[in-house]
Amino acid sequence: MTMFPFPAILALVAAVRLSEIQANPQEGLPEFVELSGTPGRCLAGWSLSDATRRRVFPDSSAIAASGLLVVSPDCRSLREAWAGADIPCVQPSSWGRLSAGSDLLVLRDSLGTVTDSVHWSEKNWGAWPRGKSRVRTSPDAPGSDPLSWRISRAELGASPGWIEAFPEETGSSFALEIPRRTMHPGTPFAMVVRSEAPVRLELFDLARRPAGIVFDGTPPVDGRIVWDGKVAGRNPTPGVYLLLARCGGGIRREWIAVGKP
Amino acid sequence: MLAQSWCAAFEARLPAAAVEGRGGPSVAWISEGDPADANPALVARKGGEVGGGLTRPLGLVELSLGGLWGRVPLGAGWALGGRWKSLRAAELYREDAWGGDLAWAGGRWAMGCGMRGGHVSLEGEDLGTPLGGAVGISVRLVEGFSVAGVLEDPSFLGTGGLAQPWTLGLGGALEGRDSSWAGDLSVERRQIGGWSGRVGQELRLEPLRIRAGLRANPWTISVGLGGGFRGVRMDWALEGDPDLGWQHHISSAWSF
Repeated sequence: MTMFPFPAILALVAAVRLSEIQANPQEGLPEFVELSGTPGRCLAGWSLSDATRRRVFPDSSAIAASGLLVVSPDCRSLREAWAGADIPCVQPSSWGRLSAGSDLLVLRDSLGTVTDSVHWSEKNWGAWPRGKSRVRTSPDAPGSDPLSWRISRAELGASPGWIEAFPEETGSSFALEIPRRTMHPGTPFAMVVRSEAPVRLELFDLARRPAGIVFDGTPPVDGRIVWDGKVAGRNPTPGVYLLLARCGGGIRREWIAVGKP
Repeated sequence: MLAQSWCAAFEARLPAAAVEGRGGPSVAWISEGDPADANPALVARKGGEVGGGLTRPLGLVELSLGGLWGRVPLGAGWALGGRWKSLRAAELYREDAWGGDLAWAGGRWAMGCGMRGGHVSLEGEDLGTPLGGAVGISVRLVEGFSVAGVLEDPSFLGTGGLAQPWTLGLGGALEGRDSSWAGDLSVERRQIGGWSGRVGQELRLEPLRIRAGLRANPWTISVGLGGGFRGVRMDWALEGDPDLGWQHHISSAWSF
């Protein structure tokens, strides 16, 4: 599993943030929400609310030495699933099921002040894959921006109590990420293309015919590219397409369904 | 016509491994396990058949494409053909397409025409139902001709005018006197995308079929294997290119 604890990074961040969410676990595994913050920070009286329920943390809650704390209705099952790993986990007084389709999570401190929140829906984030958690790319990344969250690539589909190392953090400098798989021409579609070298991003239909070039050049430092949905000045016809990113000899592929403008 | 090309939403071909192993559908020649969707005239060139096939377009695990086809002789050289295919993309996108052909063959000649239709939805949103037609001529063992044009569906208008590219296909085929091999060549001119072509070869070592094909613009190569017993056959093909990905096709057909 390509994961490692990162207390050094989190020590720089004073605010407590939502760092991983599992709203669609495998059968038999519990949901969980992972928080990141300064190690040792007490979270007694803090709460996590969604559209239906408020989950109050027990008095013993505190950010662990790893800089993380997992909140789950079943810490024991979570630890068993991860082979007895010492996952810092607390069980709130009650737990209402999260909705993988659409939900709002709000983190409040003991005074009721909102410290972080995230809102997801299938329309903006795409379908939540069964058994996979969503991991925040950075504690400072905007909570409700789909590009701030990535689907876990950990072996068990999630990494509670651990921070995953994604390819760009392990030395590979070329990656293509899309926030969702549907787009409508005329509605800006933001993507992340990580590369220090020039990249050509092309659109192909399922018969392998090129439909047009989406981007050709060196991506900005943050990798964020906003596509207006047009290729060669025209809207692509509705259908399923392949986004192909080429950089040197490297290739990254993602499919996308295009609707009407 | 090259019926599979009537609209960008329906670009994925009906997955028939006997066809894909030879580089794609031919406008001039039809084999066993062939939906004959490149030229409606070919429906009258063979006897009755029903079949079905599956693939994952571009090798992407979240996409699935399946299809069924059938053709039945009506007597006096007439034949009816039909096909249906369905593409699903991770429960977000779905398209269903159908086609029906009426063809006649007599002596060296065959002629056919057909209708094409379909339906597309994205996350439950109805995107359109284009309709179209196709005509084709086939001269035995020599050449085939087809042309397609599709009536534009109002719901697709305003998307850049790409919805209804016409395609013209022309091709020829040769078959060994002892039927131990067959090869065919097709060239197509598409309204958008220009010229493209393909060449395919089938070697018959009863009951095996060994196939290979090459397509240009876009460039793909393909190989295939098939076998049959008492009219029932199974075929497999691998087709694609290194950049966009490889895809396997599996299909089965019963000839009667």
